[in-house]
Amino acid sequence: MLRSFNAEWLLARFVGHQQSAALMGDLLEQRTERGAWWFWRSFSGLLLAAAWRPLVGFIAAVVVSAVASSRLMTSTIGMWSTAPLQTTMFVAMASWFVAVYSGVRYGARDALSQVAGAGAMLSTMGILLWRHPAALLSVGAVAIGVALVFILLRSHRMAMGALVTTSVIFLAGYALMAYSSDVYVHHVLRIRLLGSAELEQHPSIQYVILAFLLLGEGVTAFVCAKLHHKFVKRPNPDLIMAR
Amino acid sequence: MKRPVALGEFEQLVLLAILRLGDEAYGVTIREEIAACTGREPSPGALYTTLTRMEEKHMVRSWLGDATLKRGGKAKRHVAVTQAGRNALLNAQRAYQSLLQGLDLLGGADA
Repeated sequence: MLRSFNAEWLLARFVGHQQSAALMGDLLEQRTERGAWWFWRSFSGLLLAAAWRPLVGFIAAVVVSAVASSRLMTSTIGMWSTAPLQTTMFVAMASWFVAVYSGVRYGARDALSQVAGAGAMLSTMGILLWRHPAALLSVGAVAIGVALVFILLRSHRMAMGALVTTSVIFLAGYALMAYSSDVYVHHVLRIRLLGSAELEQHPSIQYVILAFLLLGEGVTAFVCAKLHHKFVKRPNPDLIMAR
Repeated sequence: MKRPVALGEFEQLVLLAILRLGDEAYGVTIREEIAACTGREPSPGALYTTLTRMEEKHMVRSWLGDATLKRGGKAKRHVAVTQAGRNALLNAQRAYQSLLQGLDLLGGADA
């Protein structure tokens, strides 16, 4: 049975330890007079209120980054061996992931959402215009201008740092997923060739790839939230004055 | 000119309850105060969401207080209204007052 200690631990995953302890204290204070049913019903409401944005944000980010990467790969068939294009593709995938996750969790006015949104739009435009050098140069010039504006704003500067770090984690997660999946495929099939016949014969390969992909993206979302809390969240002017 | 921050009905109730409670304002007392004054008790989840949102907008600030045995040894998170919160509340109440002028809802025959 779920005890209040476990409930506090679960709530802390979304609101932090101090806030979780204070909220559970509020519920425990009234538990004696209101009963266990009220306690668990209120806890469920609290958990839902605290968790829906991170969870919906994560699911939306996974879906959007997958759709974006699939569309972008389709539009650049035959050019994949170009290293700058591959790098831009990873930047686009990471930016879409962070933009959607941050947009749902913290809102469109948040500095990280705006920086990641701009990164996602510009890198996507860059990939779509890859075959047109003049247009690509214009996108590059706009990207430099946008980056300079963001550097001048403190919260956006911190958000840029958070986005770069999160993108590196995203890339590392993707590379780890690719390597681990490759090892698993070799373990199951003894060959490194993977086609539809092999996937039909060993459906577990798809689940393992998906699990590693979600693990990498889960770590990315966790790092994104931690960096946002530490560097991007606006400080309360009243608290600064109180110090 | 900077546009004043818009406040929802529940946000105004929470800010007014915090102002009425003074130093005693924390989750349990705020919900009790709103229930006593309006007859509706907000759920802990609704109050948590509203307080978090208002803290992000710098309308309230919070700090950890003392822990009691009744609370399982967990500290209270006290809340106070900031100057920005007072200004937003004042703007919202002024808007209500100007809309009420000439209607005589509180003292008229329809009351």
